[in-house]
Amino acid sequence: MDPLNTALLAFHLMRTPARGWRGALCVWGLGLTLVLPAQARVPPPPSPLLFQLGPTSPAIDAARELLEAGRFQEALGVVQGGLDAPDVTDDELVELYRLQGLTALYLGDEALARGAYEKLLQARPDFELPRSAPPKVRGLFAKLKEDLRHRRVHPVTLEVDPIPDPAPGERVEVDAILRDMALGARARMFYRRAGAQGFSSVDFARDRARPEHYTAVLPAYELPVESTPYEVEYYFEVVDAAQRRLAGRGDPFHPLLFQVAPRTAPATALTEGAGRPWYKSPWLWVAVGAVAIGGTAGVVALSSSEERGRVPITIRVEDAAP
Amino acid sequence: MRRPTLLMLALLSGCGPDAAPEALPLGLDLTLSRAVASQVGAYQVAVLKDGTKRNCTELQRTCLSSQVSSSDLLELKDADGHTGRTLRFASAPGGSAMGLSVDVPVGRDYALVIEALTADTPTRFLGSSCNYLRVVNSGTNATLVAAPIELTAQPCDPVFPR
Repeated sequence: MDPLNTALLAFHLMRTPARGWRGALCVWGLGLTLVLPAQARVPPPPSPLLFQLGPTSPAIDAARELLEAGRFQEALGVVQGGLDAPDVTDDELVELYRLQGLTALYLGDEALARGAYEKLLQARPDFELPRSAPPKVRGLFAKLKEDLRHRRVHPVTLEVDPIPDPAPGERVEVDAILRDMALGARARMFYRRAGAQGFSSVDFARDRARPEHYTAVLPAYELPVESTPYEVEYYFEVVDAAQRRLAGRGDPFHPLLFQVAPRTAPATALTEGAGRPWYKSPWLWVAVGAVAIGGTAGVVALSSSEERGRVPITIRVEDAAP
Repeated sequence: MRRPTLLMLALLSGCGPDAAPEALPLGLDLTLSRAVASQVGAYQVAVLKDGTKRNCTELQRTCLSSQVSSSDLLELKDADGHTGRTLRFASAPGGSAMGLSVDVPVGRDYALVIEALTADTPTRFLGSSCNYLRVVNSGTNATLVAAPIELTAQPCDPVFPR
């Protein structure tokens, strides 16, 4: 309704004897609300979803308040601070990306909004905007969902090297590079002693100093020093919030393997020094070389002593007479 | 002597196996004409794998070295313990008959090629004899009738490249 018409209607009602002053005031208030410029009004706060009702970070509360106050640039900064903070839960990340997307749209930064909603949808494929969201936001959101349905988003890639045979009794750090990691996705290393029933797991933690770098630590107590060597099976896996495998190396049926060497003799430890791993011992490699040479010689000897048969040939000269 | 006795003696003398000509129960018996033998300075022996896939007629036309690679040859050994993919034996003086033997890895489906080479330097090819060797068993093997060498001198180098 046009604001001028609304004011005239209110004036008309005031003059009507059947209506009271109370009704007139109500209409005046309504008219005043509509007459005010749209920029002075704050956007309606989104109705909270169930998963947003858990504990939230201070950045989320602050960003919401700033967004409601129309201070979009400040809200964006607070959201970014919240995303960079350590120990942010998945639920908090979802809400922070939602706020970032909404704020970016108000600021006209469609690329940033797209990136934020993409991460949001990767983590929560069933996420829906509240009905009160502006049509522009809803339109972009619908397009992003369509892209995701057609898998036009980058898949998660995992780069991780197999673990070399570790020293017994020492922890093992595994570095991995995870690109296009979906929000809510989880990268883990699964491991077990060869022959054991189930796998244990450790999570990869994000290295905040280096983007896309993640580290998992296999505790030292999982690799005890024993008198005999043993093997450990392991594999890496990235799963999304619904536990669907996004990327990995090895799997439970085809795991990778490393061997843990047995306890070395004390005499060797004394002579070699405590800091030198067993596999750097020159005597080991001398022994390996000797075995290799001996083996080769054995193979050659075997191949050269193959069984033979004697074929006698007698050449006789025959006269060429007809 | 009475007539029945003579008859008996005659019958007895005609019984039994024929007198074997130089009994050589095992090995390869090679015959070449004396005209060729007089020029021969050495014989080169080689054994090829996959004998049935070889065309002996073609192999005899020219030097073996120009037709097969040395990897097709089996490692041989002579009575003196010399080994090689080809073995050479000096011919007997005056081109008379001679005997030689080679030790071949036990197996099946071979082709044995004997090349007659000149005595001069560089060695020239005079002719060859190609023979299918169905099986080589351990120990000493049975006699084979070999194809005679025909004089087909060719301007080729019978030496296999090393």
